[in-house]
Amino acid sequence: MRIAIIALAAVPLIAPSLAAQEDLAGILVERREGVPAGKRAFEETWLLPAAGGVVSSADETRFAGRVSVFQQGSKERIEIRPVEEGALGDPIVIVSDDGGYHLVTRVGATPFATSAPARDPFVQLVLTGPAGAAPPHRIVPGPGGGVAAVVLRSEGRAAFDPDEAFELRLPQVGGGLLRTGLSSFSAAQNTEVTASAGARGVDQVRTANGTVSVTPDPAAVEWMEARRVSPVEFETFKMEARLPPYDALPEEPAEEPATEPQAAGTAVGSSP
Amino acid sequence: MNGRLVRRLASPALAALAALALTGTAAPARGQILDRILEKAEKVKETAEKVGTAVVPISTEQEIEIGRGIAATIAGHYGLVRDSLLTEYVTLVGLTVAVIDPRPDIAYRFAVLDSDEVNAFAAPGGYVFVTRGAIAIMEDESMLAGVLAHELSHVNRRDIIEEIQSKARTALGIEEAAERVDITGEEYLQKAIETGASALFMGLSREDELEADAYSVRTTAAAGYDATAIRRFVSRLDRAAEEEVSLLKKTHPDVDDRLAALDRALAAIPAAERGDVTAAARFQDRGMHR
Repeated sequence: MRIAIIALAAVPLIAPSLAAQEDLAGILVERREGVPAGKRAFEETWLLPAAGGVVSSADETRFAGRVSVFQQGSKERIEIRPVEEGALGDPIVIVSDDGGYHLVTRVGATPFATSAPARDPFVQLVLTGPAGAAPPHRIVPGPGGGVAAVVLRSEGRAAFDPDEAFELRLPQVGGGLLRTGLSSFSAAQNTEVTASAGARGVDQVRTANGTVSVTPDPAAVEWMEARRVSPVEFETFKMEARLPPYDALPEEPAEEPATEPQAAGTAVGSSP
Repeated sequence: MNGRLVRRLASPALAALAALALTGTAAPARGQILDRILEKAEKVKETAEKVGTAVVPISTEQEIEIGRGIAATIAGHYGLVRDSLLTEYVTLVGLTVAVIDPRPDIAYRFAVLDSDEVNAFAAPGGYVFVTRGAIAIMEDESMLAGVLAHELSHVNRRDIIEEIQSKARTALGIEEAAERVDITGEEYLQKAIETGASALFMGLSREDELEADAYSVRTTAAAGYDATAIRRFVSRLDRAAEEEVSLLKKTHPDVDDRLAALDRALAAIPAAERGDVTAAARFQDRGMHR
């Protein structure tokens, strides 16, 4: 199976309706009941059909986002980062407490069921779970069959701070992590910190082979800094080599060799 | 506080005093002498700790500024291969291992140096280089990942920055109170870059290098690559032309010592968790295509 990864087109929001809200309420109740006791964390890589909806084969799904989940007792924090224009977008942070599920923002929390992300099909798929145990690779079927999503799950380190994880407000101030749209909780790389001054070098340097003269090349450093790899390219790269989490994908079926016309009387499968 | 630095300062003094204590004198006075020696040893340790706390602090922003200067020096010395496709490939391999244990405060950059010499370098702040010569003796992508992971250890542990800090008061001539020093100020920046670049080209400590090898084993395994990759690379150093590995061998522990330490690091990882991806075909296609 070869799955090319491209940016997922914006998934159209479905119109809110009472029935949909009831469906969502059911999803959330089921999820809440499915959260296992104990402290645990896991991460999921989601592959969705490029055009949304359902496709007939897992081959037709594309990298669509990453989900981090932190659980303890009845509490849960879900961070959903969908792909937007080739990059991982701002996280949708959902936290549950005794009062239910909340969408958490920098200004506070709002009931999740009435928030805009609650109508996002991808978010709904994620919440459908399972919240408890799941295999490293699973296919989410569509309502009438086919493939709605491929999900790769890897267990994470459960050594998180529950006070921070289940806080119903994102930090209002912060550095690069918030500027790049990442919550301050989950591990992330901040690429915002860069030096303000130009690169300088030195024209003489001591080496194990003696002192050498050098003409520093600040332009080379700027050239390095100008190279960019998008998260989607990065996921494609890992998937090509079946590096984690894509090692959970089933092996590609061996291609059938082209069958040469058999000469009359030659036994199929015999070797010379 | 810089624990490793304190240990470096305190250990020789404590060892000398302990040796003195063991050689002792006449039996009746031995207890008192031992008490005094231990008291002095404690004072030496306290002094070392005070020196340690007085180490010039270097923030992430300052580290990046110094790292850019060192990177410009490395690139100036060897020349950079300005090949976008090759650099993208090396960057993707580097990021695959970098995300296993990332420092959230820096961006990692990767590039190829235009040299037949077999070597790799890491400047502070996330600037990682590998030479054409090093890539030429690799046989698959996991070996590239292993070498880059070794360099990432130096970045993440701030090995060069610690060298600069340990030499700040002598090499940089800093006499002010540590908290008042801006290492990237006009007065000190060039000296800091010079000290860091020299540390890089003269070689880091044996401890730092062996830890970087062990880090490479752990990180490549966690990334899914064959964890023996760095060992296979190191074992090839003896087969490379002497002039191509001259600097690398002078700045790193003996190959045999490295291989023995790598075997210990590998033994610490359960076989099922060692990773098995070598991506040899992709490496031949993308890493060695020019």
